[in-house]
Amino acid sequence: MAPEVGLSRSTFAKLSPHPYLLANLEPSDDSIPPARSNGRAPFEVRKPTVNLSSLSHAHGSALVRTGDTTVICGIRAETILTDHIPNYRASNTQTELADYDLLVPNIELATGSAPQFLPGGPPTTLAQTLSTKIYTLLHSSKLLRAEDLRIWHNRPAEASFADEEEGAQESEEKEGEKYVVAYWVLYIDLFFISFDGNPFDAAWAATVAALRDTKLPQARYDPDREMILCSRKNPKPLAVESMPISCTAVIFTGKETKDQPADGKFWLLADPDTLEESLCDETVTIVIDCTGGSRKILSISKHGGTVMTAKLLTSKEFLDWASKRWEDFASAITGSQ
Amino acid sequence: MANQQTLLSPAELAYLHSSLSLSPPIRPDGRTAKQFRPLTAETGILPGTNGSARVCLADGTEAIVGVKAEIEKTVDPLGGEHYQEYVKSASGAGGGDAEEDKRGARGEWLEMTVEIPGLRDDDAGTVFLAELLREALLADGEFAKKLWINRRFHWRLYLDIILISPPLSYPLPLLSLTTHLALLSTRLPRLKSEGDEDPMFDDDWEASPFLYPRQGAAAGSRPPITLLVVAVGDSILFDPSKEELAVADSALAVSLCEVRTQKGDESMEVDSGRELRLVSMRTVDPPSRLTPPGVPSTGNFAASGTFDPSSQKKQQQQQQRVEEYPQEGVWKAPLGGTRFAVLDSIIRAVLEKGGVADEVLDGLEGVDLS
Amino acid sequence: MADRRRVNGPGSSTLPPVYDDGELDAALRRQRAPDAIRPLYLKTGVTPSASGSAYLEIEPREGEHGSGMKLTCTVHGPRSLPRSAPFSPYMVLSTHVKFAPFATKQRRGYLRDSSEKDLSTHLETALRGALIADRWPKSGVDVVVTIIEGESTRQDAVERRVEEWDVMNVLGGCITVASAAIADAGIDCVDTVSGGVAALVASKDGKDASIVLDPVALEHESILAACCVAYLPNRDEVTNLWFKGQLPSPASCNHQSLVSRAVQASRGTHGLISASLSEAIGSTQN
Repeated sequence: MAPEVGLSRSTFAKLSPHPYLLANLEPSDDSIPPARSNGRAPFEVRKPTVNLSSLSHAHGSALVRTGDTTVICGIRAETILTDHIPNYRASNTQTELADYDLLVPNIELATGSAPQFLPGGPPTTLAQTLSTKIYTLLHSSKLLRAEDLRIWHNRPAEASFADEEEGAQESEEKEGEKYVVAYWVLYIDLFFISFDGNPFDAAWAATVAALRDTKLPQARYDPDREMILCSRKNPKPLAVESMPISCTAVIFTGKETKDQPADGKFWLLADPDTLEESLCDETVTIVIDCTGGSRKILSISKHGGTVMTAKLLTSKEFLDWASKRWEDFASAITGSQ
Repeated sequence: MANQQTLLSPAELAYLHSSLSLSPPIRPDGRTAKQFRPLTAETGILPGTNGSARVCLADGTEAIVGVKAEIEKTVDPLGGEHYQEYVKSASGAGGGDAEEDKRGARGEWLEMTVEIPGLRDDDAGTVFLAELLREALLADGEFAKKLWINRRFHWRLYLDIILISPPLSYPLPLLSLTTHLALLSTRLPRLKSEGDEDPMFDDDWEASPFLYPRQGAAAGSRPPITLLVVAVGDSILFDPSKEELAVADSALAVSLCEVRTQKGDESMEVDSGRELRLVSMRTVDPPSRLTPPGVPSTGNFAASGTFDPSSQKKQQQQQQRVEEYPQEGVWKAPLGGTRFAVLDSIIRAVLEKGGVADEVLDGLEGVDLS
Repeated sequence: MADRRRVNGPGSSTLPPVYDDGELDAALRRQRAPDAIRPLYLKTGVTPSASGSAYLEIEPREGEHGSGMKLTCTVHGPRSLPRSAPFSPYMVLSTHVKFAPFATKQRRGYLRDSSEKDLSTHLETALRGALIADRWPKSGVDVVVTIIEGESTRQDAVERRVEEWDVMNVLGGCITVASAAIADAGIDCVDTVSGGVAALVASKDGKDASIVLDPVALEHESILAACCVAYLPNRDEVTNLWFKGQLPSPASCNHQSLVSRAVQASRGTHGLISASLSEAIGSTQN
């Protein structure tokens, strides 16, 4: 096709990406298997690689690379005393993670990771959306137990004797009672080194991998100095049992404008790169967890377009693909531990 | 420095460059290579501050510096405010001598802002200037110790540097001299309390000591001054004007600190006891790199009036050659860096005994410190 | 004012962990010879969507793992300036240096602070001298350096207040990585600029001072002065010079030797850039 008109394949791909992708997916010759502009089959994904503990200043870190998308995640733990938390209620043991904002994920794209993301400005809409999505999923997936982030303290028995005269409030509290004096706050910072589509899958995988890698120091409260002191010995890993993995695909309809009539034909392109993302309106992301053999779906989100039906979303083919992708990521994450 | 681009034509730039490269250089305002522009200075102009100064340069640029001091609790950044004490007692060094404690003094206690009209305060150029002045002040490690009160409290010094005229030339020397004078005139209230208790101060302003003592054994150091020096060809020029900066091959900001030896104090011969120390140096990106290049008449079709396609190739070659070898009289922005020998001769010229730095410091000494 | 465009976390401030037991390992002394620089790993083309990119890793000190310095740099352009920009006869260079929040002992914010802006200005001066900018009129190039991991891993670095000297090393790394990325982007330069650092360190008793190349602040009792240069080896020229500190003796030759030693360090780095670049060219040709 391309050589006849005097243009090289790559020039043609750049000049009119849409017909180029369509021509590749619908080859004129039946002997050629349908492929995408990047040479992958429609359902073929980029194989993830994961590197853990590469940062020495962070409590946990992971570098995830899928194709040309590279993201590095560093987790830093800091402490906050419960006295300093506004609206703190000791009885709240259910929603403390979300109520006190103990998880702080942020995504930075503006590292020159792609030509459209240059530093100097406020975070782009995409960066804000991604941060919020990670934040929501962290809380909704119940990945972390609040217990891991609590720092306990035994109120000493003599405390109420010492300040007897002002101890109206103190004496109400039981002696020797164990209570939560502080929390760990996890700052989860995700930096994109290189950006080539499908940022959410990579960022989420990096978050999960880094959390599994995170070890918090042993902490105790020093009542005299009213501060938390930590020990370097025997840091405690976070208990992250589950491994939710996000799988994203885009839907390519083969029509360039919205007002063209849909002829019903479409292609599901898994793990899209930047070019494919720019050509497709409809995205579907499924977050699944197959730990222990059973397939749990944590979230399904679909944006734009009307092609993807409920039937297709629940089809065996689609779910099997997601499970396959889960295995890829899970083995990459656990394999590097 | 983009805002300081001069509106000189390539021909003017070439002329200026060649006249400045002569030996001795011919400067547009008739100064010698090592001559400063005349300036007027006064101190103590702002009654609400601990120290202040104003300096006016002959070209109409003017700067004010105000110094304000506040008391602040010493907080260890890694722990609560008691952490330092805790570490002390734990290591068994409780009640160590003051000199030892003063090592806890931190450069962060000095807060410096630079304001230049027409530039945002977070503009890279402004930040660069502020860091440059700050670094010179803190380089000897003695300054922060002056702010130490006791183990629990310290002074926080706010140094606000404001250029109140439009920035006609690179304002670095002006701001540095103004800061120098303001710090010399700075007084902090006299401490009445002792040890580590909450500080109490004498409210008699007359009794307040200077931040940089005038007499006695402590009258050692002086605040630093920063000089801007440019190299044009083989000449080294001090205090360049805007036009001279526009043709400079390289520019260097050199900060010096004056250290007075004890002997000088005793014999009252200040000059002989003065010793200059280099505390910081930074290359400044010369704006000449952003000046438009001239086109030699051989490569200019408009000037020769003819356009012969057959000679196009030859002209291209010429163009190539022009790019590589600058022609006499045709302005070309400097490429590459500065030779080590040039840098070295600049530093030597600055540190020279009885040289420009001495002259400037003598001039500043003449300013009445109210 | 909290930035509403980011996730800010709890309203009141949080504290990084404070350790009350000592470091796990004893203080390390410099093992290298005074004129040896640490081994470097340099790779170009880490960000395929950028015009040029490079990754630099300065290997950790002997006997320590996971430390060292890691930087990436991306170069975008030369590309046309926005329509609103005024005419420029040259390529407009803009540099950004940013520490990742997890790069240093203290967590850094997302907004650039003054030391990062200062580093950007130094880097700009260092690169501008090397670029042949008049070959791209009316265009702009962005050089973005991200410091993934800085130096001074340990607590006592903060306590001994030596971290300010590490900025010099960071700048040296920034210059080297940016130079490799610019070469990867194929932007014409008069020479590949490379960064080098030398420092005057005092011995334990504080009496004699000696000059070392590529200093690691932690390995020395105290640093008296340090110097970072950006150097063009083939032209024997310095595009950026940054010196600070106090020289013990009034003899004026001290600064000379310090600068020339820093130049020597950057010569060492330059050899590595050329080796890495020619390797990259070799691999694309095959």
